[in-house]
Amino acid sequence: MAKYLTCPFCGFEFDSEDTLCHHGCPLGAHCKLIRCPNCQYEYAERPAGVRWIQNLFRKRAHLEETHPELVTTARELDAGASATVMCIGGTRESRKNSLAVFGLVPGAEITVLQQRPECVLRVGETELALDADIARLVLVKRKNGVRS
Amino acid sequence: MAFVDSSSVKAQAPSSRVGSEGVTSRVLLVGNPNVGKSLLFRNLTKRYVMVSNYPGTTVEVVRARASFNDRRHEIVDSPGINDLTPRSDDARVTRGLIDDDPDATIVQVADAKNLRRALLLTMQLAELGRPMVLAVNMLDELEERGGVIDTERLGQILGIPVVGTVAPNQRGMDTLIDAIREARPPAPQPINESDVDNLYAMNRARLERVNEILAGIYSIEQPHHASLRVRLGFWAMAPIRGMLVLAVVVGMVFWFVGLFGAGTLVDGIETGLFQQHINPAAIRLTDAVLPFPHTHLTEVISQEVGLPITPVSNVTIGTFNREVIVPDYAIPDGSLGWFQHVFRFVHDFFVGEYGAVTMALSYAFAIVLPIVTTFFFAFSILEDSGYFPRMAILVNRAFRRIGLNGKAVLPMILGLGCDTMATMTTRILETRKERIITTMLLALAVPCSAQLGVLLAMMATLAPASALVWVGVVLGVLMLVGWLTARVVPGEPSDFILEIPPMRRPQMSNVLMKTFSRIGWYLREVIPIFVVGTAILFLLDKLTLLGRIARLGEPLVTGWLGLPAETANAFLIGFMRRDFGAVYILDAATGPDAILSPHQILVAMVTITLFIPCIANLLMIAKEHGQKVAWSMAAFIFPFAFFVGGVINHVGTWLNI
Repeated sequence: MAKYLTCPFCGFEFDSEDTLCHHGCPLGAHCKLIRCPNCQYEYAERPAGVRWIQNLFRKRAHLEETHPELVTTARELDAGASATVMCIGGTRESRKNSLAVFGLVPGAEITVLQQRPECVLRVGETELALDADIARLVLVKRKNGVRS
Repeated sequence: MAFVDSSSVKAQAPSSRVGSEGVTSRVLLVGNPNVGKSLLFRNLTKRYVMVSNYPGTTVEVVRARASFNDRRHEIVDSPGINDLTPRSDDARVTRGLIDDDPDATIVQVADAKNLRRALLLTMQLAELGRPMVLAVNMLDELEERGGVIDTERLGQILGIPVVGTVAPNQRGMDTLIDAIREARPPAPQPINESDVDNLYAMNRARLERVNEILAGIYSIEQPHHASLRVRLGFWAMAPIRGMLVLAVVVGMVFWFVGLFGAGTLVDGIETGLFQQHINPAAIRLTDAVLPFPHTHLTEVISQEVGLPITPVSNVTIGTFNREVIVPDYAIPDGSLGWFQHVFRFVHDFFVGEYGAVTMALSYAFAIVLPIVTTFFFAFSILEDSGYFPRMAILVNRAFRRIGLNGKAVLPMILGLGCDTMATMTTRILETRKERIITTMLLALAVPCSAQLGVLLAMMATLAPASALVWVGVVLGVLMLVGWLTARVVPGEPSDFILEIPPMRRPQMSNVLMKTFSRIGWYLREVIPIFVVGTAILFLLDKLTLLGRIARLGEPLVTGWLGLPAETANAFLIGFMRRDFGAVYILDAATGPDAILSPHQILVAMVTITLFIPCIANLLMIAKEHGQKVAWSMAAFIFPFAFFVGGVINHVGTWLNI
């Protein structure tokens, strides 16, 4: 049974088998760090005891089940739909930074204004036009559980 | 919580500062784009505005002097930026302005509705440790939405004076002026990030801190109903309605620039002023200073004054005829002495057929200046209304195919005004690849307004189907060559991430100020190029190379293009003055003794459109991208224009049209 992990940085859920950095890495056998395959964030897994104690004090919201059907990309949302950004894919830090200066970071709430001819999002009070390719890298979770 | 005025920073100034009158200190306005910085700037200064380009860039920096707080201040308005990282020209300029004067007070202007992004910039500025003030502008729009902000608390957290302002009705201006005296370096902010070299990680950490700050002191709601302006903004970027808006905008700009500017104004200045008055006066003056035996020909120059309606019809108000001398002259029999030859050479250099006055200056001032003036005016209005980013959305997909993105729409549109100037503005594009592709397409397939006017007049003589063929061929070539260039030139296109500003009513004073500043820039940068280009032509003409080159091209023109030999000259002239080449052909097509069939007109139109724009453009390409690029482009464009023209000729003949 595969173990599922949640990246504390971008919220991406992945199989422990997918932490590709361990393959072929000479330190692999001894390295206890986990690298998120989505955002490349590296973190140490907390020991089971610490997790158990943390779970006791965690807010309910965090224990909420993840609904995979609510997770999609900004490109897939219909015009008018709102969503929360979970993470931004891709490896180009400069591109992520260009989005960040407009407030488009994980945790931000977005509303899709249109998808054609180009994707236009509203982030806070900013309206932002994005290439379809970039919009596909913005992983979001639909709000209110509404699927359109 | 209601808006709290920043009374905490209104402490009385110590009287010792009063004695420092006469000392100029600098105040630098910094902020995100579209936060009302320019208006706040005007409120602070009111007069003596100086617009200049920051050295080495096309970014405009506005400076003005003002006296308040018993001191003289120089107020500098920097370009709007989202990030202090010097990656764009705008950010480099702002960074440069901050570094140029370590004692300057920084006044950050923020949009009250968009405080999160503003505070990201505040965090970055805070790390510089410079005295600063935060002006939270557009407070009325926040209050209209039922939003609140506690500026006093924000000021305490940031450790700097925070003032709420509403620039259009001067609200908060006195408080802001008081606060400038109280400017101090911001308190260090607890930002959890060790990896200071990772810009993205740093900005994320800063944004987390911003969210913490905003949590208790700020709220905003979405508007409940959309105003007409907001709806217009949506229409302008929607698929079908956007195209309709685009068609209306293009039609209006075309009338104003292509017909009114390139027609009425050019006629008025070129014919009415230069040909009828300035040129004859310059010729007489030169003849008086450098006498040699010759007689200038005289011609009746007639100028029609009217208002254009379509490219081929207008309302005529009156016609003014005047018989004047022209640069052509005849020399009586008998040879000239050597000094008379020198006189004649100098005479021709200034007022000959390719003279500095009669060609270069009359071209620059009489033909291009009115066109670029009307063009810059229309351009500034569109720019200030927030329309261009919406246009970029509409064209992004098509531009993607040719290795560009929607942002390149600006230089391409400018090219319809003047390709030389548009080549210069390719600097706003982010990668070298995009700059080269755009420059190439401008030189090849974007006709400038001078040429467009003549081409449209020619098109009027053709059947609508032929006109469509012309449009189709030019657009097809644009796409094909763009696609090919994108594959030949190495590099990546830049990301299309574009902020869409709200639609605004353009402020006439701002539009005029920008137009004048751009005209000044145009005159300084472009006119020397016209003078140099004309001098080259003059030398070629003196060495009788012009005629020889024209004769060399004749077989190509008659054999391959199937045009009469006389038109060879038109192509050569077209290189010097793009519209002149077209005028030659227009004469041959519609003049008293028309020699061209409709099929030949189409071939000539396509060839002259694709032909390299003019010598000034070639020089500008060399200036912007180096000689190698300029020559490679010329080496491609010359044969390619003839190739496409010939293909159309042969296909047309074969189909027997």
